[in-house]
Amino acid sequence: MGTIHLVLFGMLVILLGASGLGIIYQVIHGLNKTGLNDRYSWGLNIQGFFFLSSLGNGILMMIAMFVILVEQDYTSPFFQFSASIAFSCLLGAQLLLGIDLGKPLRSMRILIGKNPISPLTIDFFTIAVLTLLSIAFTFGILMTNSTLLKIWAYAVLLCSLLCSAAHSLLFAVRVPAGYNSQPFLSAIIFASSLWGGSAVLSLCAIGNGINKDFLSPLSIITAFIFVLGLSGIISAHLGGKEPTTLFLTLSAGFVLLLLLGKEVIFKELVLLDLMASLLPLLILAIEKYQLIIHFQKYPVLPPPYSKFENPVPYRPTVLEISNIICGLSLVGTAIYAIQICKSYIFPLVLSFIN
Amino acid sequence: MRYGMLIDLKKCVGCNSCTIACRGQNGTPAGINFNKMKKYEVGSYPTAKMKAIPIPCMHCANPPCKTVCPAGATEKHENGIVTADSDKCIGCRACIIACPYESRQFVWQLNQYYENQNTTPFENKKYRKYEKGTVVKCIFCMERVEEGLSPACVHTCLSGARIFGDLDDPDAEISKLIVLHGALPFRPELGTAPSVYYING
Repeated sequence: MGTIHLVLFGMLVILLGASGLGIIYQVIHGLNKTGLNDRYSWGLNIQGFFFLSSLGNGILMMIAMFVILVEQDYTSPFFQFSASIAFSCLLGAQLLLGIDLGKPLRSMRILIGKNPISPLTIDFFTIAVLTLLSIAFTFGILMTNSTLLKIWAYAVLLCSLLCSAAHSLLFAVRVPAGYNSQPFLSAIIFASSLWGGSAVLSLCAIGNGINKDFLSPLSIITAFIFVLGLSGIISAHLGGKEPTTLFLTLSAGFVLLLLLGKEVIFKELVLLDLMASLLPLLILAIEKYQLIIHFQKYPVLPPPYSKFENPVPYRPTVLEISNIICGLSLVGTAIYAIQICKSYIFPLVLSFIN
Repeated sequence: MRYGMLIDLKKCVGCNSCTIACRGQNGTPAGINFNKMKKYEVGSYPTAKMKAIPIPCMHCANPPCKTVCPAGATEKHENGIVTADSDKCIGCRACIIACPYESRQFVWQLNQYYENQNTTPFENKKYRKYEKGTVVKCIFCMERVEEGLSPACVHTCLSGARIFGDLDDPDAEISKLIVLHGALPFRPELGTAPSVYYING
């Protein structure tokens, strides 16, 4: 492992440790130390959860589609690395969801809650299954068998679909409580996941000389996001409501222009690949934050009953920002840890055994 | 049997006695309020009027809070009362997100009414049932109801605006009044089938 990677890994471990202290502080002292209040019950932690779980799902879905459509096998180190990113993202997502609970040490009660129709229950189980599936691909457990690999791919697609459905339901239950939803919410949640996944794959492919293979799916999904966003704006306009997909539509349009510019004019400019791969990740993070805020900022009760309610702003505290940093540094640390395990520790153990 | 409540908005003066009685009966910490009194304006100047609508938990026949609870902490009893079990609650707040009536609250902190002082004997006794990090709500004073009494808010109402009884009993006073006055639940279009009816003021 190069010096740069060692330094980076060291920095991530330190960051994880430092921000981890914030998590321990929050678990001990409770959510009253965050900026959450009666109006904003969900905040940065949940935004981080949605972002990372969406990313993890998307990467796994993209790998699954390559397995099914292009008959990609397990041997590619590129896809193994991508699966490790997916696993790390899902791990980070589960950390952020866990610490957002009022009673995080009771989280396993979901297993005995006997409420399978709850969106959170569906989310819990699908993300757990996806985490196991990502471990299987990352460490090559039964993945060399082509039939099992296909089963793995279909299982990933099914679980990811269910997970996106659960995320949609979490927003849909708020509609009677005042959330101004739009008809394409589910599609956007699903497509955002794919967008993030294809962006990560495209980012990893830069420098490997295979980034051209991933620009086409990225372009198609970006165009799909743009169309969905535009449809959301049109439906809001027709319904006389405030559009909620303006930012997503404009930013997806910008990424689409970058990709078109890359395809038509600047064919050899790698910077455009980098921008077109990084921007979707940034856009998705902002979009999830906006979604969470928009989800809750309006009063639950309709006018005139809410006329005298003063809007309470959501101001995340340093603790919540530290939690996000912890989640992201866990992702980075886990990626490195997996590579260290696969490159050094597992061969060492195997040599001892042999 | 399905317990319900009827609130006559023609009689309600918005005095908040029900709110105080609820706090006294349930010993809710400062900041937690099971019975909300929403003030709203009708008409326009110079004939505008301020009105009040008490909004307790609606104890819906089809409660969205129960649907979303992953830990099974929200339970709908046979008598129609919906409760939230603090011992099972994991504090995910999905029920708060789902409730269209703002009936649920999260216990961010167990606040005292008198800062910088020791807890009162009343607070010491009552706060034991509240856990920081869980969700709480109106339970129609289930302990009183099981003893044959009415909820504290009904018992206290100065103008007699609240009636409590069995909605499934056509001979109960509440059922007769609902039919007589054409009482309606709040936001029936949501499909939650609330058990709290209002006679429009």
